[in-house]
Amino acid sequence: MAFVLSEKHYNLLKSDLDDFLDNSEANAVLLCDRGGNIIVHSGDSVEGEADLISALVAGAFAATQQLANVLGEKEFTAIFHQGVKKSIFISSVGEEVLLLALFSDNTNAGLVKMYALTVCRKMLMLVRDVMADQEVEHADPTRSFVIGKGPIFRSD
Amino acid sequence: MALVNYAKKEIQFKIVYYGPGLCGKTTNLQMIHDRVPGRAKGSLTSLATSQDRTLFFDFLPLHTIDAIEGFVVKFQMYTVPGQVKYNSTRRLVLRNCDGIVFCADSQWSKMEENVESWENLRSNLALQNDRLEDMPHILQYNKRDLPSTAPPEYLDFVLNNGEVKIPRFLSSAVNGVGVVETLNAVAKLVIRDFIDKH
Repeated sequence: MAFVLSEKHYNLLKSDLDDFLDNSEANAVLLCDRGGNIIVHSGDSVEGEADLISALVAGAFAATQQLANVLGEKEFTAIFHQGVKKSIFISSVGEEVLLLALFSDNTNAGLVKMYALTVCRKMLMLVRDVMADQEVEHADPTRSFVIGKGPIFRSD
Repeated sequence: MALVNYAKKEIQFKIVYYGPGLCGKTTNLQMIHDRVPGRAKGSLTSLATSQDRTLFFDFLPLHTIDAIEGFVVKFQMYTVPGQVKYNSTRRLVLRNCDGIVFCADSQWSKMEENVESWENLRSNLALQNDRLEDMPHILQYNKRDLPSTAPPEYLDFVLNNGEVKIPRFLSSAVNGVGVVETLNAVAKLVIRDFIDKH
């Protein structure tokens, strides 16, 4: 069954993520599922590479969970990758979603972490609302899909 | 699990290439990356060992406006590492998957590995409460260019012996033969399955 995100829920999620960017001074923020699919992203520095970043982060987070299990932890709820100019903070949002904040060396890492944890709590509530509305979304008779004609991909 | 975003008019699917080590999963993605026009693809990323064996996964994002009217459809293409020892990684990559291409090595000497990988796919899906029968999937009999290959009928006997026949494609991924056909077939199956369930 698909995960359906309505315009209403998308706008609510996006609005909170935009606020997070304003407050934390991070460059970009992504909300993705643990399979690597992007749900919402905000900020302009990941344009074009957001899919790849999301896939790699989901993989890295999953691998880290195995490490947590080896150490007897249920999971590591957050990971911080520190670079010279760019860094990434990743935090779980419930059991199915991840939040990823990208920020530069101009930004205070502690500030990003603090606001990230706050927005994660908001995201968790919103994601639960989205999940609770899935049956309603799926049953909406006004929505239908029409398959395009011909091959989906052509070769050069 | 497909993700439908009505605000952006976008639908995302995840497709996984599965199969034994060195059967040509990565080569499939490399050829897709070579053959599909530039506007429809992102960059191909491989997390590989120094010997070019897949360590974690290969990843290639594709997108099209021709699949479902009024929507941009994104396909996130993954391979799994084929080596037996990386089973926990294969389970991670299978998570939230919408469609599977099982890439079999057509060489006689690889039949046992094909069957092991096929059974491994079923057991890994079972661990995430999925069944192969409930998920869009196709078979690709690869390496048809090599001299010591089993006939397709024998591969059917080994892998495609259920009451419902699985769509199967013959390919030589290294030469680009059958690669885009396989991609289009699995993409269409995934979309048909999505529409049937909605």
